[in-house]
Amino acid sequence: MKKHSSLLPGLLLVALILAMCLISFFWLPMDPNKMDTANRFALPTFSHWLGTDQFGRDVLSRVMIASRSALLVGLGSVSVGTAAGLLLGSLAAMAGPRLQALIMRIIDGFMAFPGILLAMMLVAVLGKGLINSVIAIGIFMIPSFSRLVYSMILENKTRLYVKAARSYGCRSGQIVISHIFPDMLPRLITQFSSAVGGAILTESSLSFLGLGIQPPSASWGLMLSEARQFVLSYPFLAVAPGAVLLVAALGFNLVGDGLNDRLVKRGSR
Amino acid sequence: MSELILEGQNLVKDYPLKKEVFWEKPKTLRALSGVSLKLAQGQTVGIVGESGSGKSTLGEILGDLQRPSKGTVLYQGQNLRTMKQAEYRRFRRNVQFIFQNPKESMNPYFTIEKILMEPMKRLDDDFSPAQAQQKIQTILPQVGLEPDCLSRRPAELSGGQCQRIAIARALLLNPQVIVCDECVSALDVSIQAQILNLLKSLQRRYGTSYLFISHDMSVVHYMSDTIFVLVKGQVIEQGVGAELMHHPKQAYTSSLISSSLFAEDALCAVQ
Repeated sequence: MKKHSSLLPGLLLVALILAMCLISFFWLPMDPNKMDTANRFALPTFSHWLGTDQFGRDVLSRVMIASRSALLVGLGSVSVGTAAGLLLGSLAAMAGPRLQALIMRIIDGFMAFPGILLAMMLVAVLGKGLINSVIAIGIFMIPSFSRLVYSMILENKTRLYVKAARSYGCRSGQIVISHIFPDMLPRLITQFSSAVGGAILTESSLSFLGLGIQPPSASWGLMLSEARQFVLSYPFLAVAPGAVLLVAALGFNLVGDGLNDRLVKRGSR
Repeated sequence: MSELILEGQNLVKDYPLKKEVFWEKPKTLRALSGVSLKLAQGQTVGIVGESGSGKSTLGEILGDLQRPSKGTVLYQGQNLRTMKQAEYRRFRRNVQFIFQNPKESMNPYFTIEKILMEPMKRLDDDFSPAQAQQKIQTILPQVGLEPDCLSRRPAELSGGQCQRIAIARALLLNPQVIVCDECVSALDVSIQAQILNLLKSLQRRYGTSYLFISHDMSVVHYMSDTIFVLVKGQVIEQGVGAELMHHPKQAYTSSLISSSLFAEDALCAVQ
C-alpha cells in the first residue's frame, strides 16, 4: 500500500475549486446572468467554453460564480458545526452526569434524523436562501462534531496529566483548552475537511430541491435541477455542474482521508 | 510538636458499582472506611498497603482531587469545603502531587519548560514569565537536571529524568506538603534510591512534609516518621517507623516487611 495516497490528489482537486472561486472574483468569461435567447443550449464553442443553458446564459461563468456560494456554505456551515460541537461536546464531557445525559440524548435525537430531512425541516422553519442554508447545514453538522469532541474529551479526561493539571489548579475549561485541545486538533481537522465535502453536497441537494439558493443566482444543485428538465434532449447541460460537484466533494473527502492517515493514524502512539 | 498542616477526619470513600439490572439497589464499593490521619510540618507520613487497599484514594482525598463520601479534610484547621476561595487557592498551592508514572503525568504535547511553567501560571499571585524562568533555572540543579532539557518533551527524557521534572514542578510552588503517590514504583531500583535521597535532602532544605504512599514497606520505612498500614480501606496498624518495622503487631504487617524486596542497605549505600 502506498503511503498518504489520497492527500495529494485531494489537495489538487480542492485547489482546483479554490482557484475557480478566486478567479471568479477577478475575471469571468461572461456575465453569468446575461441571457442570449438566440443562443440557447449551445454546445461548447470559443465564446462559450462549456456551452449555454436554456436561457442562453454562459455555463462556465455560472459554474464559476456558483463555486463562491458552494464554498461559503461548505466552509461556513462546517465552521458553525465545529464551533457549536466543540462547545456542546466539551460542556457535556466536563459536566455532571445529569447535564451530560441531557445534552447527549438531545444530540442522539438529532442524529436519528436523516441529515437532508433535518436540513429541509430547518429550511422550512428558517426560510430559503444562502445564509439560512449555512445555518441549517451548520445545525445538521453539530451532532457529529459534538459526539467526536465528547468522546475525545472523555478519552483524555482519565489521563494522568489531566489529574496532575487539576492538582495544580487548572479548572475544567482550562484543561479542555490548553491540555486536551492539542490532542483533538488532528482529528478535528480531518473531520472538518470530510464534513466540508458533505456540506457542499447537502447544499446542492437543498438547491436541487428548490430549498437552497434561489434563481436567478447560480448554484451547482440548482443548475443540475434545471438541466434535469432537458436531460433527454440536451444531456450536456448537466455535465459541467455535476462534474464540479463531484470534484469538490471528492476533493474534500480525499483530503480528509489523507489527513486522517497522516495526522491521526501516525499520531496514535 | 510542630505545626499541623493537613488532617483527615474519619474519611470514608464509596465508589458506585455498576448495577446488573436497573431495579437493583445501588451498590457501592467501600474503598476507604473511616481513616483519620494527621500530617505536621516537616514530617513524613508513610502509607503502605497492597494495590486496592485505598492508599491512593486516601492521598487524593487529602489533596482534594477526590471528594470523600464522609469525613472532612482540614487544612491548617480549616475545612476545605467551607473555606474561602483565596484560602482554597493557598491550599492548592501548598499541597502538590508527584504521581507514580512521571511521563503520563505530563502532557506529551508540552515542552518541559511549559510543564514547569504551568503551575506557577495558575497559582502564583504575581506571576511574571521572567521570574518564573529564574525560579526554573535555580530549581533544575537542585533536582539534578541540566537546563538544556527545557526545550524537550517528556517522551524524549528517561523515566528518572521525568520524575525529577515532576519533583521540580511540585517544588516550584514551595508547597508545605507533597503527596508522593507511588512516586518511585515505576523506576529502576538504582534510580529509586537517587530519587528517594533527593526527596530527603529537599525535605531537609525546605522543611516540606510528605505523604508517602507506596506498596513497598522498606521504601516507606526509609522515608517516613510514622507509618500507617492500610488493608481494604482500614488502618490495621500505625506507629513510629523503626518500631513498627522491628516489632510489628499484626501478622499482615510482618508479611509486608518480609515481602519487601527493596533492601534498605541499598539505599544507605547510595546515600
